[in-house]
Amino acid sequence: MKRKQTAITLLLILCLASPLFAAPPVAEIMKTMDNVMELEADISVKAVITDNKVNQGIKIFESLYFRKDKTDEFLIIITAPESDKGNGYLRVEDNFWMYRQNTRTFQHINRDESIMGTDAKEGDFEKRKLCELYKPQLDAQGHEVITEETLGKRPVYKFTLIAKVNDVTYPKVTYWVQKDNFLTLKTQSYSLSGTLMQTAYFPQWTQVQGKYIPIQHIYIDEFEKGNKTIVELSGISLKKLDPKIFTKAYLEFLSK
Amino acid sequence: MKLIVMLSIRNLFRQKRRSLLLGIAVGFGMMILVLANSFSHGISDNLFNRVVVYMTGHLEVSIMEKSRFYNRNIRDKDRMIKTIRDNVKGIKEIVENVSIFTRCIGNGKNDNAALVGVEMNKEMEEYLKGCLVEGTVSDFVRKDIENPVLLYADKAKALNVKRMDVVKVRLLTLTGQQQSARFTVAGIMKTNNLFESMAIFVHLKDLKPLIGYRPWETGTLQVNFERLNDPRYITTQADALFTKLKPRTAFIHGSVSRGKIAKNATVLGFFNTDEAKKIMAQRLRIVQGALPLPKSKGNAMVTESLARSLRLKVGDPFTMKYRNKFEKKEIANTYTVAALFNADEFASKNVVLLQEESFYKTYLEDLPAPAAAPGKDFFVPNGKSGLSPVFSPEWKLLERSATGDEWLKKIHAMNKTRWKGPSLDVGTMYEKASDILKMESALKIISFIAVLILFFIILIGVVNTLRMTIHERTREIGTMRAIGMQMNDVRNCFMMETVFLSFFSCVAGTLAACVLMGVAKLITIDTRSFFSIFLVDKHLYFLPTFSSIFFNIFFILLITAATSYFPARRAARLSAAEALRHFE
Repeated sequence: MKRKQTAITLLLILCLASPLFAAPPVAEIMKTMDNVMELEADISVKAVITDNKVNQGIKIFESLYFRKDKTDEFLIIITAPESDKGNGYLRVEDNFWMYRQNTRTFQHINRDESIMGTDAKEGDFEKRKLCELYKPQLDAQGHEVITEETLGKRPVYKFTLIAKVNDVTYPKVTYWVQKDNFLTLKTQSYSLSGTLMQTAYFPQWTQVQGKYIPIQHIYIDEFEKGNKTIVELSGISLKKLDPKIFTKAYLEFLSK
Repeated sequence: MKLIVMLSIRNLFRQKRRSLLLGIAVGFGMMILVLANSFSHGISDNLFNRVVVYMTGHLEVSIMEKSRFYNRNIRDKDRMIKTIRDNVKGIKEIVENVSIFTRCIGNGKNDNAALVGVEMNKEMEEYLKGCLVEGTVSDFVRKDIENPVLLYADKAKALNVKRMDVVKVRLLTLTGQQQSARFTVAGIMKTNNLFESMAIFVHLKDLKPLIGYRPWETGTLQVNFERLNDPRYITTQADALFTKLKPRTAFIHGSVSRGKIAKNATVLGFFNTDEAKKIMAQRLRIVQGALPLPKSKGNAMVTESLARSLRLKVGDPFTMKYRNKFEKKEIANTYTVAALFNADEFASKNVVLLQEESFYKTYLEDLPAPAAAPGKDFFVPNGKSGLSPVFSPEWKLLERSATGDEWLKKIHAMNKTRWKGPSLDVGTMYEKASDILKMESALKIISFIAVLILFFIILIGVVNTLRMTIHERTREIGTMRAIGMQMNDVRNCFMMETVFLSFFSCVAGTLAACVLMGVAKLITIDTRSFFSIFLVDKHLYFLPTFSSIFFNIFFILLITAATSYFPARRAARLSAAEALRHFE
């Protein structure tokens, strides 16, 4: 009898306490994810992109990336290989230009155009909050779908987001986010028809001024098997950047 | 004259060997000229009527949104088709042009391709029957296979697929989203040239939703005419259509509400330009708040009377609702009041002004249905008010361009404006493919110069031969002059001899060219290089025209007549007595 009472009591305590241990709402996780990555500062970083395409071999691009979060401007200058050295990209307000060093010309391009022939697009460099672009996927009962899993020994939350706007590349993305610090470890991105198009891993992060930056990204093309892109960031600096950097003249100067 | 002609013709047969050799030389030159002109004409005819016309039609109407060339969407297809039919004569057909570049995955091989939407009609059926090497037309229309497509043999080989294999494709939709699909190879067609190998035909009704077109939308509209190869007629029709496509002011008749209170209102967009701001400063009186900044989204200006009836002040949200044209669905958008204003143009009407970006975002996505009963609250823009230049139009009409270069400059200029609304262009294939016309002209000039050099050499022979002939026939000239033939007749006799020889040689050269063309056409050239665009069905393509042949003959006769004039004149000036005394 006593044992039965203890069991019932324990069960009651567990039922009452269970909300404390439940996963937080996805919307909250999204806000936290935006918050931990939102760096309201200037940033300059060296990026190495290793692009491995089937039947085309490996191409390695090195570039310098400058960004001003306040005005959402950025500049990319390619420093290697020799054939692409001096080429660059500049975004100021609504204008996005590609600069070709051999012809010394600027050309307007759009946000869904490829950067250096890789899978990266201009839209990927824009500062847009997850909360503004996506909303949690709901089940038939209208509840958010979120599970707790382990990814390489790390406890994560897994949830799926559906695009709220139609100018994002992937209308559906599944996230694996670390439980302790809300950093994204893995994403799987789907096309409009629901086909898995890309798996991305973010195994390494660095902390700068209390915010987090992924210093290694691995993008695996799930549609065209064998294609893979690795992005590695280094030399991160938060030193204030001169606004003159985000001008066509400076990009031309850098490319010489 | 008849005597001179007869003498000239008779004299041709007197020195048969000499005449034959000279005739062969002139005929050879004529043959090269006809071959070269026919080949260059054939190239441009092939490119125009077998490649370009299928890419652009004779006349094409396109609407590019957000100043992006590849963002082409005619939102109200039926209205545009009606406008075209009402204002363009001699139409054979109007075709919806929907196509997109994709990445395709076959059996262990990947390649790029262009998906081209097609509608099955009699012409398409005839074309397919003529070029399908695997599968039949009925396979393409089967409903039991997933997304049937037709590939050219080259593409099938590149993707390592056969009939009934599956090809996966990846593409970007109109809004830049990733899309993927599976297609079943229903048939394989023989490849005629390099351009064809890129295309994969898919049913238009299957392709449009994949890209993001709704049933009432389309990419561009291509108009094909009954009368082909008539640039002037087609350009005239394009110009006529252009004048009828001047845009009106875009507006939405809907209702504006806050809480339970709702009022009918007209929603207009306004330009962000300095010019527009200047006009607004003159004609609008802002009572509260300020003009919304260009980057501010969702901010609106509301007439004071409307604000009063809804108890709105600056910073308050409100909902604007209207019914869309095609789905008859109610569209609701929420905006924030940035300013209250008055304007004489609107009198007491309820008007909401939105930044052009916010306005076009809803206007284009959901074209408004006309207001059921335009009431006294609705402002109807008539294009005559002082504020009209400020309001967003249905589209911006791009100026007509005469050449490919002008067209390119126009598109670059449009791209630079970054305007958020739609830009409409009316173009013909002659402008867009003017480089092909230039290429044909260049080829003609090159072949003409080459043949001129050849003729220069031939005419040296003509002059030399004529001098020898005159020298040999000096006594004959003396005899003719002695019996009363005049100087002019002597001169004309020699000239006509040369001209007749040239004429007969030209005719023979033309016939030889025709025979050579016939023989050359029989040779099969199986190549995948750029040269294949000049071939039709793996054979050389010549297109001789009567006008160019007659021009060439006339030109050759003219220069041989000119060349023979001087020696003939010298012969005519010989004195009869001296000529009779001449001994060789």
